[in-house]
Amino acid sequence: MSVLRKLVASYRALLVARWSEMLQYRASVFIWTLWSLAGPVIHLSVWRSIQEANGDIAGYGRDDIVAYFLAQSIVYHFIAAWQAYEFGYLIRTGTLSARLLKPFDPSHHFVASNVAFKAVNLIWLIPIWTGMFLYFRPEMSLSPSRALLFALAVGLAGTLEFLWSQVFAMLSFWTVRSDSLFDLSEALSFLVGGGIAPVAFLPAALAQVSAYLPFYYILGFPIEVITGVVPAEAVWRGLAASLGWSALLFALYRILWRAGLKRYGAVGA
Amino acid sequence: MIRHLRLFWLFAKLSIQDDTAYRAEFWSRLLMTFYWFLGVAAGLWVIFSNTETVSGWTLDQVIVLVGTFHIVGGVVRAVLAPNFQRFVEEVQSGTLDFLLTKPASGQFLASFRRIAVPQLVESAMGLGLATIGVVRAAGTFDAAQVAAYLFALACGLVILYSFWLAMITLVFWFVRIENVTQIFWSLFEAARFPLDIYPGWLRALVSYIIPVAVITTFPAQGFVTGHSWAGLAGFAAAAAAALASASLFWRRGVSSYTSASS
Repeated sequence: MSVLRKLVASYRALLVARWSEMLQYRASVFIWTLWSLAGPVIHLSVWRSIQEANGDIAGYGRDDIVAYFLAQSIVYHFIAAWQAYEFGYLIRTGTLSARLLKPFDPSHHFVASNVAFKAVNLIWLIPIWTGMFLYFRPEMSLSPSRALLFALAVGLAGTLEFLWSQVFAMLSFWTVRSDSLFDLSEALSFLVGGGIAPVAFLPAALAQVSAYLPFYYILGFPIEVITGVVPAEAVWRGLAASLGWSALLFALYRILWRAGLKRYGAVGA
Repeated sequence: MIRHLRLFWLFAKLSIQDDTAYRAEFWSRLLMTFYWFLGVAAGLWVIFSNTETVSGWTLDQVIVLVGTFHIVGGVVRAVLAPNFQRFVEEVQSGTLDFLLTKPASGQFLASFRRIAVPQLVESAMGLGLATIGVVRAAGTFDAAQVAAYLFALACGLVILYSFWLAMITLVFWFVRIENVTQIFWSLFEAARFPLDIYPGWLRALVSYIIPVAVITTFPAQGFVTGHSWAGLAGFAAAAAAALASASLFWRRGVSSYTSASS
């Protein structure tokens, strides 16, 4: 119990620190969020122009395409995870040693700054999202239960992407190129997970690749939950799959963390 | 002019000498670029497995466009971005004085001192893509079209240079503007696809206000609808006007610069 209370107190301190840090750099943080909107708007335009010329694509009409990419811009925000880029730096500079001295796992820092970033940005993202919906006006209906399921799906997707990034962060114990590797995995995720297009648009071979990877549950699945493409009974199956992937990646991260720490100690001492 | 060309050549040689010390960086860049190339190809596969054309552009024509996008992107990463970065640092630290007192055009020195050679791999990939696009549709393209494309691309690069020059000149008044480049990159992403697909306001924004997309669409457009003499002349005139006004703006910036110490 006291362990838990200590953890809660540390999280409060970390979150407050990160929150004020984010507010201090609000200009750069704001511009970063603009960057995250560029992709969805571009691909929305691509697919809408194709749909206008050829008719519906894999059952997606004009409104479905618009709804998909607007939801994508929201999901992108909640799934962002970037510690794979930072962890290598901590190792190379030895900053990790100082963090290891503190009485709790250094990864809590990543969780806190991740949560703080997402919370701070909501200040301007909510008006921007509202503006985008009012501008594009997709025809879509949203029941309260769907909204709830969406919150669940996007929460799990965020956890999943965070753990994915965490696994790549751990690879920094062995290679200085872990951030390039993470970039490659992100590019693959964009391609087969529902970034460039809904997975329903993918050629059969790529859809096959997608089925063996967690990327669909990180991006495409939560989007399809809120746009209503996933039928109700499949939502639970998708949530279970997300949970399964999360458990798998968490185990992998813990194994790599223990092994990496042994190695790190050997180099540092 | 000749003197500046010679200086440019000298800078290029020095940059190559510097970068050959970091050969691993070059090879890993090459490998990464190869992966990006695969990614670009897969992206086109996804799009064109659903359609024959994107707003009237065939696959071959879009390949030329994407190639152009990477040619331009590589030039920005190799030439414009690193010099911009260094210039901003110098204004912030006050060492810009050393640059301005050198016996050559300050604008020229600030823009072309350093070339990040490994980044040019991206341009080479873009050139390869554009060539593939042209060759795949062989028979429908002729030498005049290629010449018009190269001319339009050169004009596009001048417009882009002018835009960057105007952007970095702002540093004289607003010292902390590194983030402005991130806005550039966000909008530049739009240049991957034909401009016609975007809603009107976005098309106007990336064509006229922050002209990042028109510089790839316009040259490649020659392979879709053909270039008219009037169109090319207009584009060249726009480039000349952009360069002239950006240079003027730069000179105003320099004259208002009072160094860090005074």
